[in-house]
Amino acid sequence: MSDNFRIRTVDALSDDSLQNNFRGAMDFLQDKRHQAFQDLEFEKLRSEGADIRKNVIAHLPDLLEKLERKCIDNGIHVHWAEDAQQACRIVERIAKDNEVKQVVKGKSMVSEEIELNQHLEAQGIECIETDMGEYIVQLDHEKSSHIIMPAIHKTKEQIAQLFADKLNEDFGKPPKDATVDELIGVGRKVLRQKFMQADMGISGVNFAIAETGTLCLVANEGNGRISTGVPDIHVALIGLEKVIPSFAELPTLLKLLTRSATGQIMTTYLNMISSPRKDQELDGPSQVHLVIIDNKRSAMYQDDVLQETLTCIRCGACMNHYPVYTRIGGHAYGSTYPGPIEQIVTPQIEGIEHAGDLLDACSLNGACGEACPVSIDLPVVIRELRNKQTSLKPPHRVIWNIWRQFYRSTKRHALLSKFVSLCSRLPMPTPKAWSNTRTFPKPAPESFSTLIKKQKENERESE
Amino acid sequence: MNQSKANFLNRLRVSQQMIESTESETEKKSAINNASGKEVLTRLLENNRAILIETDYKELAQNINTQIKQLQPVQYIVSEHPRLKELLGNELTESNQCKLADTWREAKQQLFEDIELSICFADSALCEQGALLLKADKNQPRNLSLIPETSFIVVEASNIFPDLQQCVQSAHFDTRNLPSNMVLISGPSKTADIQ
Repeated sequence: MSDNFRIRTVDALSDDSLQNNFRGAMDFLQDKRHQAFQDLEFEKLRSEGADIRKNVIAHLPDLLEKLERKCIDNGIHVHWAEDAQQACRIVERIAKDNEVKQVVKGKSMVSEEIELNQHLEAQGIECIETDMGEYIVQLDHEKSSHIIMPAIHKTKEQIAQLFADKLNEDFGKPPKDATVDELIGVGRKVLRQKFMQADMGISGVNFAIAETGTLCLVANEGNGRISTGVPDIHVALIGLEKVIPSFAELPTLLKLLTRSATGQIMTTYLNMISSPRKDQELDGPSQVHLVIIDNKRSAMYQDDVLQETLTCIRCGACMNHYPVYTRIGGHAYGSTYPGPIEQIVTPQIEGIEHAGDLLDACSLNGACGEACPVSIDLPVVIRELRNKQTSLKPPHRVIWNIWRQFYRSTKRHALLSKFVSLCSRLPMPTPKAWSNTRTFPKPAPESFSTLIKKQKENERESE
Repeated sequence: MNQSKANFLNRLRVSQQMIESTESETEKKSAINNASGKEVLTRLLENNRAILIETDYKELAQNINTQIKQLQPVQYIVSEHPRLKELLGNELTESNQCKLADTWREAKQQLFEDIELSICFADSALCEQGALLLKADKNQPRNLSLIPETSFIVVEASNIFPDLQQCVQSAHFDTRNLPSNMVLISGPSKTADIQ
């Protein structure tokens, strides 16, 4: 998956429109998040959030069993999927048993992780994304570029063109210079028709409450509520780490999630589903299914350092604050969860031997760790994964040892820098792939260590 | 199937003993008191493009009638929530008021195609979140506050809570008997997906 990360990165860096879209959106999100936390003591809230999530991890298997028990009591069917394929097959079977033809889907990262759309499509079941951004990328056969704003890489002109090309004329062709509201109006018309027809809805879950068997979903668009409340069957997908003990923990995590993700005090909706339609109720699904997905998460659980990955609440703050992501965008990563969290999740799900250059994209600047609302020490986890990756590759070890010989001794280091700065003054061709997007650095006229030496001498003289 | 569950939980249990749990203090005080609460609630709702109308009990129905007259929905629907019925009596405009069909298949079509406005009842309002809590039941279907373009939500001032935490701990929130669906609403649907 990530083998071509380098190539995609170079492509992304030379795409000016993508760069502008991303930079603008990320600056906007960073700013909004900063404002949203102003009314609260961020550090205090954050440590509360981290404690809650760590406690969940400490009691994970018990909480999952409790969640299952409560859900079953409430009339929700619970399924356990060990990997992506099993999860897809469970959803497929629910669809086939009920002769489902049309599926509408709310935004769900885990459904992308298991590539559910592709699986259902191969079985002849149409699965429409109903989040406006996800719908746009699906229409253009792309992957989303940001977990909260999936179509952020597209301009409104590109979207107008896409709608004009792909949609049935009954919905009205948007003009080239259509406004944002006009475009959303067109999208809504199409989606409302799909909602009417759909016989099954699929959604993710932000928090599953073990004590009451309640599935909580945050959303700004009505599509999440429609997908879970209009069709006759609702299938909720959940990574095993999303469970929380009780309603008491919800407010803190909710505050952190909405503020970190979009800089909102509160999303438009918090949807809380505890059971299928009750007796005498007119609406709501008559079947609710919960699919609890492992897909290598239990392997993360077994490693003391990597385990922290499971406390993630998928807000996206780490990528909004991550200098590399804000420049290359989500597509360069080529997988479901872009940015720092992706660097730690993907190698663990797909196997570290497939991580390729992903882990090298990190500059260890630490911005992601500072932004994380549940205090995940992302840089430490990334370093741990790098260690693991390096130990797999003998050439890395040799290079590392040579590097160490020069960097552990001041004398040898000074010698090396002298040699390098001498070399760089010689007329040599600059590597093109590198200098296309960057200027080659000039060595300073005097090295850092010489400057320090001089300063010390000066100080001594003045004394 | 059950084998998957057993495998799954076993893998987790192997390493569970190693993990220390950190119990944090649970007592949390809200920064919002009752006086500043309503102000915060109003500000947040209006920031989210909700329109706020303050009214006393006597003028509630009349106020809604005025709004309906202005908006002229082809059809509108009122939730059968007992408290809402009590508050509104028989005073709402009858001419374009409609009832939902008995089956969801037909009612769904009405909601998507004919009904342009709905009136629902919120059990409580939460200042810190700037949101209203609506519970679904046989009297108030969950899709009533969702599908029609315009939604009127009535909340009583006596049911305003400083925050979600306190609402969850109150008698309003019976965790042993939760409705099939509850929703917090902080304004009309919106998207930032096209910029």
